[in-house]
Amino acid sequence: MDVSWLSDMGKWLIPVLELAILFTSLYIVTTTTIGHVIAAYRWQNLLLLIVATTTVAKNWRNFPQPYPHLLSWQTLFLFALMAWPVFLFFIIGRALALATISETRWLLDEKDRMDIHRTWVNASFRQKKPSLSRMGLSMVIYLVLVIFAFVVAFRFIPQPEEPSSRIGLGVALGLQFAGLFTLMTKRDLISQVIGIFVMDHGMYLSIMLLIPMPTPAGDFLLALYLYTFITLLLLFFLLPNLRRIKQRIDLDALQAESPLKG
Amino acid sequence: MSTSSHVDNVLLALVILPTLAWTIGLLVWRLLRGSDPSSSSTRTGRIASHLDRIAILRRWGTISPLERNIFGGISILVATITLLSTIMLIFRFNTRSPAQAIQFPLPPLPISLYADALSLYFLLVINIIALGASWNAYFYLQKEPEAGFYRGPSLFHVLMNLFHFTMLLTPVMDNLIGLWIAIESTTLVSALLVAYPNTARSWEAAWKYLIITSTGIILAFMGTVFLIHGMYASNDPVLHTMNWSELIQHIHLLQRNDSLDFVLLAFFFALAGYGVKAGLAPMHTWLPDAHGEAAPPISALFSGVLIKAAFYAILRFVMLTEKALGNEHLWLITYVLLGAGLFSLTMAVPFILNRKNHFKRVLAYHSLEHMGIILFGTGVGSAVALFGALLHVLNHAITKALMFLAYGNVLRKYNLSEEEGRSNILEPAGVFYLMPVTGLLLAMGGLALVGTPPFNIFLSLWMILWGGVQRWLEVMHTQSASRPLEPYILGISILIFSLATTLIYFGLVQHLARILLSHPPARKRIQEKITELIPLLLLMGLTCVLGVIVLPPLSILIQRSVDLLTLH
Repeated sequence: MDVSWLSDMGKWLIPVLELAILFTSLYIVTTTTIGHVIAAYRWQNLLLLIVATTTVAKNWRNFPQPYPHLLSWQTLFLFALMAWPVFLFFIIGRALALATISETRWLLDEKDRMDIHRTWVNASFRQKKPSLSRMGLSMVIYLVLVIFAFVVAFRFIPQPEEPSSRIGLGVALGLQFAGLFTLMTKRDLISQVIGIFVMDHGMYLSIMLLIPMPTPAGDFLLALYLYTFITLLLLFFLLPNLRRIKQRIDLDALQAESPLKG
Repeated sequence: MSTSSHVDNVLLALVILPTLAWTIGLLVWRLLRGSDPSSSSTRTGRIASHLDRIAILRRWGTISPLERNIFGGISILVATITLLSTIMLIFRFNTRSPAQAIQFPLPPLPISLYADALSLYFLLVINIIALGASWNAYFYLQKEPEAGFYRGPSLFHVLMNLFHFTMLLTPVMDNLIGLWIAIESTTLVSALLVAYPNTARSWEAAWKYLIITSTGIILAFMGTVFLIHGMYASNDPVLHTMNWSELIQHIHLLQRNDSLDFVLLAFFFALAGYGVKAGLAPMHTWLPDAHGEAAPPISALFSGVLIKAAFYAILRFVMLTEKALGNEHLWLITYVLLGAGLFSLTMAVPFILNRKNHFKRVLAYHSLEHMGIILFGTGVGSAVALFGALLHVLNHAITKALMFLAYGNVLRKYNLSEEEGRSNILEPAGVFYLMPVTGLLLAMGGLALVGTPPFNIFLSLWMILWGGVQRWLEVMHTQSASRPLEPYILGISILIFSLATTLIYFGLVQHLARILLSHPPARKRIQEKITELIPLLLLMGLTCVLGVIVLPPLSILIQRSVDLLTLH
């Protein structure tokens, strides 16, 4: 299969898309509305899918050619690579909705939806008002973190390698910092979960660095799957119980009445 | 060099597999028994009711006293088998050439189990504490009702044995991503164990624990990616591997090219990531919550071995980085580890000195202190300090397990007194008067924990300090022109180390005095059963013996581990 046109396109498309991913995480960092946080996260998943597809096409020649069987491990690897962001794109909104109500059900009725909506809106309102100065401060801190990520990436990736690798590493590190920043600044449990998943995106992008070496990339992808499933499973188990007992998801209120002090 | 006989392989299987087999057995029993069909309105209830179709025993979420005792007994037996197998493996290992390691391929999987002196040492630590915890769990679960499919003693045994299994996997993983998966698996099971008491406090603690350690584990993942990227980016095909045992043999070849920077980046990420799981400051905030809210046997496992398993992963990365960097750049690793160790140590001081903190949380902060001490010893890097640091891993595990289990017994007895029924006492008073044997064990364990002679921690603490002073004198005499500040940095570090440990000494003594000697609640003396005291007495015995002598087989094993750590 001749995918050289994709390979050529990838040289400029991948960095552009990766930078777009950073913009979505900037939106996650600055907005205080839970619905918007989830929407931006889903956009990130779509962008990641395109990045993954293009990266694979770009490195097509490195894969053993041609594939002898449809179900060779390389095919499975490619499928798994593409499926991860798609899976999260579809599952995350519903998973967080199910995890928000105290007794989760597979099928949500109208009352559940109202309950979820009310909980998310209340949690958003309880957070400090999105004043310009606050948003500006978040932006500045985020930009400092991203610049730091790029300095590290350009320092560590040797000169002869392609600039796209450096940008990829910079964005992967930037997503780690963005996730951490979200975790530390957001005041509701749902956004905190998104913070963790943004860091997951950093993990996913770092696997892109290994795409030219399919063997370790496959192992890392397997580990990422395991991690994602575990996180989702625990999310389903822990969040509803926390909500059942505490009746709230906003962190300030939880911390105010928390007995776990000292 | 890796060689292993069939006997080694069988013994290694006996170390790892019984916990898994027992977990699966218990799960099958739970499936055959069935759950509580009355709760089918909930999602969990509906899953349970579907599973009930295969329940041929039809016991519907109950457990008889006999079953309860059998389950507890088997858990103790399993922990005993794994410990004895580990000891036998160590005896066999000690008679061989130090360079040999045990390799256990797992076809058809592309990974193999690998055990060198360091792995065996950590297996020993894990299994000693797991035996004590299993024994204590037997009594902890005596009054625990079997409440449906999602609670009860059988579930506790499932999770505890699975937790034990995941921790056993950590030191024997050769593949670095396998090591990451093993550590991640410990998070999964242990988060459920923290939530097990099903109180508002325990759910909140489990949540915090999961969020914070997930963050850390992501950083560790990135560290592993960077390391492997560095290896595969090099032109040397011998480095195109993810197995630690192969990497350590060839990683010095990296000194020739730019991939070295990736190893350094990998080290920082691994230290930060696994450091979160090891409870190092500033990401230690999950420690007091998780340790404080989990059941006592789980707190013992957490403090005794879970954080040590993460430290083991850090050690493997330290070894790789040191060998890759070579002697010339070792100072960088030294400073980073010294700094991280001292930071954790000093962060623990105000929390331990705060009289208002609950005792269990104070014990958790002691884990922060001791991880700081261990990292400090690793950072000093001399043979004596490394020996002390590794010995401290065992000493702290034993002493802290003793404290958590003894204190857990006190809380359980105080809260289940015959006269007052079930209560919710968080801070017992006058333990010496009501439970004199346990009180004495708590007092001795507490004094051991802060480094009082002639107990075990005193010995390892002094080794670390001695190693530090030796290194300082060495640096003073051979002052490097390129690093003129090194003697001052080391000197100040030793000073801070001594000051912090002294302050912590007084901090714990005041907490102990409050619990042991304050006025007890008006009630009769509480009966202490000898069977409940046996694990505590055994741990206390080890605390005393290891304070006087490092037993020869143990000494050989630690020395061999030190040799591995200093081979650069």
